[in-house]
Amino acid sequence: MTSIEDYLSRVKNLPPAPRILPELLQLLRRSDVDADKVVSLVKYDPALTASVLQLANSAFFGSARPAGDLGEAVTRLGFQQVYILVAAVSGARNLSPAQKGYGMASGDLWRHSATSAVAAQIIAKELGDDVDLVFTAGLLHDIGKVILSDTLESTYSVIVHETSQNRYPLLEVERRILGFDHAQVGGRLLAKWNFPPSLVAAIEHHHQPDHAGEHARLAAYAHVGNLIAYSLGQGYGNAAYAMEPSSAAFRILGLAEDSLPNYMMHTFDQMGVIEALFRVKT
Amino acid sequence: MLSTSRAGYEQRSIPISGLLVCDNPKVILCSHSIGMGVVVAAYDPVTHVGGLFHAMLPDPQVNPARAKEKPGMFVDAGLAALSFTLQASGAVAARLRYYAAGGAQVMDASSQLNIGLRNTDALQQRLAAQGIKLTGAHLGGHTCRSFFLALETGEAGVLLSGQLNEISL
Repeated sequence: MTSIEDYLSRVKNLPPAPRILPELLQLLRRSDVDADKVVSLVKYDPALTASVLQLANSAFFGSARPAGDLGEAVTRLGFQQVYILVAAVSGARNLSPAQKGYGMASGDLWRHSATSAVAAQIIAKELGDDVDLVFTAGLLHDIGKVILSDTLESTYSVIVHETSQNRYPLLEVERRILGFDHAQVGGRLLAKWNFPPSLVAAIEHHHQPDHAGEHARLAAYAHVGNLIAYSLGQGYGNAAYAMEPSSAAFRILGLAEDSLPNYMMHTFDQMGVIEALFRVKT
Repeated sequence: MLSTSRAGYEQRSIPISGLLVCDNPKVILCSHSIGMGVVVAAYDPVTHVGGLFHAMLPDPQVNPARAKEKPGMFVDAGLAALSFTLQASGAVAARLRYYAAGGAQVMDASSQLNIGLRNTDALQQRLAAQGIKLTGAHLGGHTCRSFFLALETGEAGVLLSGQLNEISL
């Protein structure tokens, strides 16, 4: 079996790094956020800026008067909202294509990821945790699938058989075929892209948040967001539901398991926002 | 194939938590992204009136008010509302053919987290209590699916995510 590093070094088409996100997250962590720095960081990518403005002015995010430029958007919507829009546009670029190795059509992974991010963010807001970080964890939790999809395409029939006949979780099938799974690959990719250790650990352990050490809480958010997306039908491709929900994720967040329907309904109520994210132009 | 567009026919998609009854034979009712939720459809072959709802939860226990504003969100409220609306649109209860699809299940979950299983259990209990037998069903498994019902012919089918061929019910 190859190591993840060897595997990543041989992948021909790594997705483009959302370079801006780790830098923005770092900027937003400061108590005195410098608006000019935020704007200049985003502005160097004109396509990103245009998409962020389009989202910022859409019915679900816009204020009464449309923002003409990024500076105005920051003033009107605030740093946090603008960060979320930047994260969404960057995420959509990577997550929108079809992932044939998983049987996912174009847009499927993006719908799943955006729903997970919004669901996780709703809970983080209620529990008073870092909303930007949680949104990013929900958004990028399955980034490893983008990498593994090409490799798994040739073994698609094996995956179908192992999940449907032998009833193995999809994650375990990946490990049996490749020696590692999409969560581990996603974590390693985020480390390569200089995301903070908390996000690296959260993505790597989003299926088993209790294994994420000091970052278990962020991993638990990614896990529960993922589960809510599935429960709302946003889980596509072959045997997507062959996953094991973690009771530990709920314990880590201090949530009762029977709170799941309540958060499903809250997320359903944000469908307008999620739909706006689905339609983002990249 | 019900999932591909047919000339002269309109596909009308019902989103999660939605409920729709229709008497236009040129309509194919459908619902997509059926994961842990369940779609229940009913059809009167004489009047060609049909309808469906796409429930996401078994019952409105956590928020009873929601069942009034959105009965299609819940298996129990949805079943009552579907039957009532169909009959109000000219369908006859005794002639109705019922179909169900969805209820994808996760693995090794506690009962609270296995929403798919809870939805299918709730559906089967409600149907049994009312003496209703399903004409066709595609429930359980680990895959998201779409459901289709042609109002002209009563044909019903599902398409699994990642697959090309429909399964007739």
